[in-house]
Amino acid sequence: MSFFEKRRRIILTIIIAIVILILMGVSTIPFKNSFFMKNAINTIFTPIHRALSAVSDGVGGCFNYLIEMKNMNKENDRLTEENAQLRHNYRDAESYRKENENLRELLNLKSQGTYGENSIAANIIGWSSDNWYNYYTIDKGSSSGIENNDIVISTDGIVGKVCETGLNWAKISTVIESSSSVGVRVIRTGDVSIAEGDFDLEREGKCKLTFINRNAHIIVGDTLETSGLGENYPAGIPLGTVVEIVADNAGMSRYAVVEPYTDFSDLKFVLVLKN
Amino acid sequence: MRYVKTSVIVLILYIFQETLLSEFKPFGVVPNLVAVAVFCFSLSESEWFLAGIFGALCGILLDAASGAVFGLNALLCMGFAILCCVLSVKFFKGKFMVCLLFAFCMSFLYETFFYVFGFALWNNTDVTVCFLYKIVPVTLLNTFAAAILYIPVKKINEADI
Repeated sequence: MSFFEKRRRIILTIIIAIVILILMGVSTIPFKNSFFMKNAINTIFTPIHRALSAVSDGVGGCFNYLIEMKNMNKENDRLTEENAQLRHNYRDAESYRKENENLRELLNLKSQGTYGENSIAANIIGWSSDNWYNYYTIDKGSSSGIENNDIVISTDGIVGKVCETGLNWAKISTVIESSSSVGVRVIRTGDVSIAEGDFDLEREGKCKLTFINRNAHIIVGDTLETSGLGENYPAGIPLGTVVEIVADNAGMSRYAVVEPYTDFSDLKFVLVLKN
Repeated sequence: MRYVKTSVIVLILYIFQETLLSEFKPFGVVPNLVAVAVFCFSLSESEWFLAGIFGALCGILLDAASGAVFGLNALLCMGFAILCCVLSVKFFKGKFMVCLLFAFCMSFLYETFFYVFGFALWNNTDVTVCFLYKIVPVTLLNTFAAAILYIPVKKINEADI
């Protein structure tokens, strides 16, 4: 037998490994849609994910109801009181909105539209399963007009942005993901900084505020919104609240722990804002 | 026929891992059931080449759902499947506790390699956090899953040989 016939399997294994390495290289090229193999597999599995997500929501909901039934009355009283307060706030907000519209007309400003005109609602059907990344999979994709880098928000604030798009699915990289960074502004003082993901804080659903200016007076309780700097995220989207300020051992630098308004452990629906 | 049955098991595990397990996350992590199935299959397979092909295909499934570069899981699964098969011929000899030991060691090495090639090489050096809160819990959960998965996978392999 020749050299190749004797070692046919070893050579085939090496060829397969080289093909996989080439695919790894090709997959890093920034195409408009996701890498074709990933797109094909996820497009096939998305309907199954959607169905199972609905089932798990139902099962989880039943268990939650049974466990929390005894707290229902107390929660009901609290919500009734909060509802009354919110109705009062809504009346105030409505009058401010009308005043805003009148002022805009007076200044002849063009309406920039509301989120409803340029947004796509989507359900979350999958969660990160490899323990190293923090992302969601939603049930809308390029066929619904979603593109990479579209911003994703919830009713509470920023969620993240679209990092991969398939035909009927898309992956959202969240702001607490370890590789994420968002330009933010402290609403009270106007100081700008960067909110980054962190492996340790990600477990608690939080992120880290870094590159804090030495002269910045950030305190616990400060609220943050996106600054629009860096052109990754538009300005003005609520991010979260500072819950802790940590100095390093030498006292030379510090960072803050931020609790996002969005509860990433209980997110079901999101809004994708088209660029 | 055994490859068809094993493939069906892998697909079911993949869907379970991607949906229910990744939503509820026992102990804050998701066990890698597909990788455990690869290890169990490789331990009861005598042909290392077939084990490698099976590992590569399962790895491609994991890559479709992973946030890492496409192909990393395929390479790791193929490599560890071949390693499991080659070592099992010499050391395994069908013992259940040795299977658990293999699953433990391979899971630990798999997650460590994933961290090194996915993060550590790119200056993400939260080593303590990654080991304590990701690698070790996943390894333990994978070993537990191997205890459940090994016997059905072994029976499928032996029934059709």
